[in-house]
Amino acid sequence: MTIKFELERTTRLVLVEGEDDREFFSRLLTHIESNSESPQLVSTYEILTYEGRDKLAGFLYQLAQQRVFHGLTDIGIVRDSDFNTDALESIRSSLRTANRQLGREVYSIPNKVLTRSSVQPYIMPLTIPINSDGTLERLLVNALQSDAVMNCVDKYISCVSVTQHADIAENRLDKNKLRVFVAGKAVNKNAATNEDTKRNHLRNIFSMTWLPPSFWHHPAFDDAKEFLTQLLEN
Amino acid sequence: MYIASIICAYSRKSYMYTSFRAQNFRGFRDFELNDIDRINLIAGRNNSGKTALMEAMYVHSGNREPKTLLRTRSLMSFEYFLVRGIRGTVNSSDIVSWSSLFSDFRTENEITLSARLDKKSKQPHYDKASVSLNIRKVSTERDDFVAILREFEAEDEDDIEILEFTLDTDGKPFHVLISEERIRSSRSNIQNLIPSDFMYTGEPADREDNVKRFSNMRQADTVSVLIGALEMIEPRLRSMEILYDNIHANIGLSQLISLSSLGVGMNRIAGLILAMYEISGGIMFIDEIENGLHYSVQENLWDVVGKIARDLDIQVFATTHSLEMIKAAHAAYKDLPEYDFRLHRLDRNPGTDEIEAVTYNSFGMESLAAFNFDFEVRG
Repeated sequence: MTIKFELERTTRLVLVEGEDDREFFSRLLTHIESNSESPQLVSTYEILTYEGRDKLAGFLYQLAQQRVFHGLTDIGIVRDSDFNTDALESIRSSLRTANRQLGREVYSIPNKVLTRSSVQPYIMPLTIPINSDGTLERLLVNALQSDAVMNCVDKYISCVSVTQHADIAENRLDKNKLRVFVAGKAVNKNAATNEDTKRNHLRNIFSMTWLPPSFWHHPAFDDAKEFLTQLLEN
Repeated sequence: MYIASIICAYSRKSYMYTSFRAQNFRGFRDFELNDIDRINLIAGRNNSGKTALMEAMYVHSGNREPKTLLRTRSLMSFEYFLVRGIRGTVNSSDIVSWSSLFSDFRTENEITLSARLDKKSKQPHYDKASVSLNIRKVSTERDDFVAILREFEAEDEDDIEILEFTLDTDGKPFHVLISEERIRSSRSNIQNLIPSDFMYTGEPADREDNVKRFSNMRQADTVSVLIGALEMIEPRLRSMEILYDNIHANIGLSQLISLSSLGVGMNRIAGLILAMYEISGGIMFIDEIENGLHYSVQENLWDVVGKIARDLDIQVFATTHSLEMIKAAHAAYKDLPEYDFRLHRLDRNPGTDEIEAVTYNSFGMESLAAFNFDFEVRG
């Protein structure tokens, strides 16, 4: 993939794993910026994808070789907490690998999530969710939990588990719940449009017509909002 | 195949440039290149200083004959052809000034070319970890100007310009004089720091040089290396020999055919390999290495160049405008026990207008394939 910096004077970057994450954080930023009570955010930031956790070190290596890097003040790095893994340590390890390959201490190593490292460019990591295993989908499921259709989804998953004597794959549960949820929404002629039913990617949830305006206010996104606000506050 | 005749000496490393700095030379006000390895490919847009960087290293490595200085592009390539084959004293009625060697034509500044060498140097006079060369235009106001003129048995004329070279390892200055009619050096025998050769793009290999070099390969029984490499392009090639003072090839036709009749690619590769066999332990500079080569043979070329470089202990610098050539180099070397390839990308910083270098190692080349950060090599 070719990465071009849209802004010549980008000073802050949000690095995310994939296109779904980029869409999520982009929408969340729009929500924060449109909320009159939110702090003013800097205008010179970009959200870039590093194409999966295994490629983060390589992305950081290439990033440090770009001219725009010298003007960066803050870099936020987001990755899924995943399951049975130390996601923060994974980010720290990628930063160390990039430093080693570059032959110099380009990146300072952060100690905690939602906390900046000590040397500019300041590195601030976020693992989602912060306090449990899971992925971005866990946040979305939590935010949609009050929707009646999600109740049906839970019953459906439970039914499949019992009738198929199936062990639930925890690491795929939230993603599959969302798929079933979106399909359930599409059943309702009055709730979903034909366009909604053609949108297959997770990131398309954010543009579904049935998504309630209150969605982005849900507390499930508080850590992500705190992360963006700290990183990009003017 | 010739490959069998080459023993790769991965563990053997002698002196090589490991870093290089050019100050006030051509487009470089203050430029530094680090993390230099055995095989170095220099990429970047047009006018980013790729060839000038190699010329700076070429001059630093010891090629300070007038012929070499004339070869620098700043003095226009056609002038070089006027003086080909003439050593020590050359004539040109068109060269008027050394100023284009200096950054922004500011001859009042001193050019400094300095390099760090691999400390594993085997040759005693290269033991110094760094070697610096200063080049300055001698002012007519200097007390010793007339004395220097006497070295050349020249009169004090308005159009005379003298360049002075001082290497910090020897301290004795060396002078080159330019006037409207002639260019001369003050010493006919100059000790090179490191043996080297430079292949310019579009410059045909010197036939006499090639014949001499081929004879040397024949004597050393290494012609199979040359034939093996040229088989990449001409699989029908069976043998090569000298006829009528020219290298000829047997490609299964009713007559042998002269090398110069076999196309640009064949001649480029032949010229390159013949040159490398002349500079064992030295440095090979190749301008626009992809020139005349089909993409399908590029990886093989890197394979050959790498093996000869390691076997003969040669350091290689090449420029390119080809992304395919960059990828081919990484593909040729990525599985070797010791990755000794570096890609150096030159760019002009729009903020400072200075040329800057970014270097990619093995890890960088792998991630470059995954993340193409608007990587530009074409002009």
